[in-house]
Amino acid sequence: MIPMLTYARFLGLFVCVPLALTFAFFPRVLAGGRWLAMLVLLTIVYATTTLWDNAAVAMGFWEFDMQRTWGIKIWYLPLEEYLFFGLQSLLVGAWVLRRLERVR
Amino acid sequence: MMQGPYAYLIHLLGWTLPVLLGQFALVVWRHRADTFRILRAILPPVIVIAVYLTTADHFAISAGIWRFPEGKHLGIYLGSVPLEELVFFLVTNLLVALGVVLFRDIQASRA
Repeated sequence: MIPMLTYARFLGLFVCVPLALTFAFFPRVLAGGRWLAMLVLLTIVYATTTLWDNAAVAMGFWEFDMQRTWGIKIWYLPLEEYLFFGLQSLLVGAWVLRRLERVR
Repeated sequence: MMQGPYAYLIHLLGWTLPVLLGQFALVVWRHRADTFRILRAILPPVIVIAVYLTTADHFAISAGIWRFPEGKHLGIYLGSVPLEELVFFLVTNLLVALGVVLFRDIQASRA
């Protein structure tokens, strides 16, 4: 029997696995001060997306089944949602940094 | 309270397009003719990850983790995913990618 897909399992399977593979293949992608740029970028991502995503849910554009989350709600969003957009940014950022190594 | 089929799209593009245009202007100003090479480097991750996450989104919606009540979306679906979700992943990935390019420029100019 296939276990129920929860938000946490969704993150593990679809986001953390590719992220782990990215860092396994390119372990030095955040080396040499690039981690600092990524950290600042993530701070901006969190400051803006937190407002945007909460506003979207407040306006009823989408909603969550809290039964499929850890049950921890911060403002309008389950905790997993906050993890999602940070991890998404990290995945994109790491791959982009890697590809930019070949551009002057 | 925003209503109607364009509500989500307006919320998405209203917040992101001005930032995206600003970022793009800075990249063009800084890189001129090399902008094309920058775009060639960043667009594959942006597009591939957007398509991938839209596919993942289909499974999340099918499993009922989140849902999109009717009346605030275009009503065009890719599987069970509203079209706006693909636009969301494309736009947010591009924001991150251009952000990375700009931070790299700042660090390069200080080195």
